[in-house]
Amino acid sequence: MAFLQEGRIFGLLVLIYIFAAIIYFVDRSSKGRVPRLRRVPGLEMVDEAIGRATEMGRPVFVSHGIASLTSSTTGPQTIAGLGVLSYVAEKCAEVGTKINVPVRRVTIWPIAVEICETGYKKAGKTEDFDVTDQVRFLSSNQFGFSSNYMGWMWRERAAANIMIGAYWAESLQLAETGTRVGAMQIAGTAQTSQIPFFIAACDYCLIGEEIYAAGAYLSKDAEMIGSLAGQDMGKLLAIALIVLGTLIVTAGSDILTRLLSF
Amino acid sequence: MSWYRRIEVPIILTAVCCIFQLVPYFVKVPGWQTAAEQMIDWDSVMETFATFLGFITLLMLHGRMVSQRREGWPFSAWILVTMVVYTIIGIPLKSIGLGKGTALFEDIRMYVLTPLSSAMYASLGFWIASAAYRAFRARTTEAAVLLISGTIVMLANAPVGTSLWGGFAPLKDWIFDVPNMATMRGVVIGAALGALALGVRTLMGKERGYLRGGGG
Repeated sequence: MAFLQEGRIFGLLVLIYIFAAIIYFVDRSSKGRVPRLRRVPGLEMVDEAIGRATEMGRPVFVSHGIASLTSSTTGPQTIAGLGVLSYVAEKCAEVGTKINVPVRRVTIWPIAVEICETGYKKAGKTEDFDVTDQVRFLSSNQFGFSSNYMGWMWRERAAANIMIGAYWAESLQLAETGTRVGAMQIAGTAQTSQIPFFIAACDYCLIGEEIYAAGAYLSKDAEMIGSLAGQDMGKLLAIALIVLGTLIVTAGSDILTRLLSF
Repeated sequence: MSWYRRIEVPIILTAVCCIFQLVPYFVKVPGWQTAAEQMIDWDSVMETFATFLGFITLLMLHGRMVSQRREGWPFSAWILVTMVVYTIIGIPLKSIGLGKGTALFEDIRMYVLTPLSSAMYASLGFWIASAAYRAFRARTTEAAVLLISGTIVMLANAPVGTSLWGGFAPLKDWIFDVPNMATMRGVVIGAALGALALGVRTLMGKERGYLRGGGG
């Protein structure tokens, strides 16, 4: 085991276990045995929010957070947010509702543009998409971004505001502005310090892991849904380790602690 | 379709980069760790190059806002002016007092940008008050629990609360250390597993939402 990094062997085993579980469930789903997903009200309401905006003739704002794609902790949240953007862009293009995308990271701007462009292409309405006006790089400064986002929502009287991704202090500013302009708000983040703000200010809130399931939930892709069942195997392992750890530590042994740091 | 426009290209690139970062975290391979760290530095290089793209998009957007006299156009004009002026001030020509680190550049940052950012951050207090006003209405059992625990925490943090009853502080500590901590740990474990599963899906090319709207 000399070729393995010390203290990370247990982590590697857990990773292999979760990887194997996901592959197994993805394969099972591709053969037609798709696991049942529990209802996530926030994601159910995405279509409702787009419909409401269509009736009101006002735009839908979709934000994927302010984190970059490359951070190991917040990058996955941005990917999840872009997955939701992909779905909303296509739906908005289909029904002819304007979608506005505020961007903080300039490296993500071309990705957001391409996602929206593809959504409009799929709906056969390429001419309705205005890159400069609809996907805006606002500012790389955190509060420069938030003040610009707030002003944009206010001027265009957003009918819906969907925020899925990593947010920090600006979360409440954005959510409160959305409330003031009367937007239907769906927000989600894995940033534990911001979840209470979203719960307090938004109509629907996705908590933690729910945002990572958004892509699978909205696309209804069998293989992606299968991967969520694989993820649940990891959760079962975590629960088992917590229960076992509690009992073992209560009994005065540190065997599990040593095993985890193996 | 050109080969480089095919959806498989970014999927393969993502997978290769993921594996390149993942392997040295678990396996000791001489030189690989350094290579992986250097690869992360590429991100900073790309971000720096992309700044120019940001400049162009801002110029296009706000130029249009001003020329069409759209609502709020004076703000757009102000953005254009400050952007151009600050870019000129940032040109590295120290002999004439321009560039990063010079008095003019640093003073603008220190006495304009920093106070503006601080003011925005400070405004959060008011946003919290208005959000709390709506959230703290005991219409359901959950909202009632939130109202009670929120009131205890506020009273424990305010001098008037602890002077009224000394028990608020330990009660607040208990709320933070027991129910709050347990919930947060549950959320963190769930989120970590969710991120891991998303990573695996991305590695396998199953998660395609971020790629050209899911492919095509």
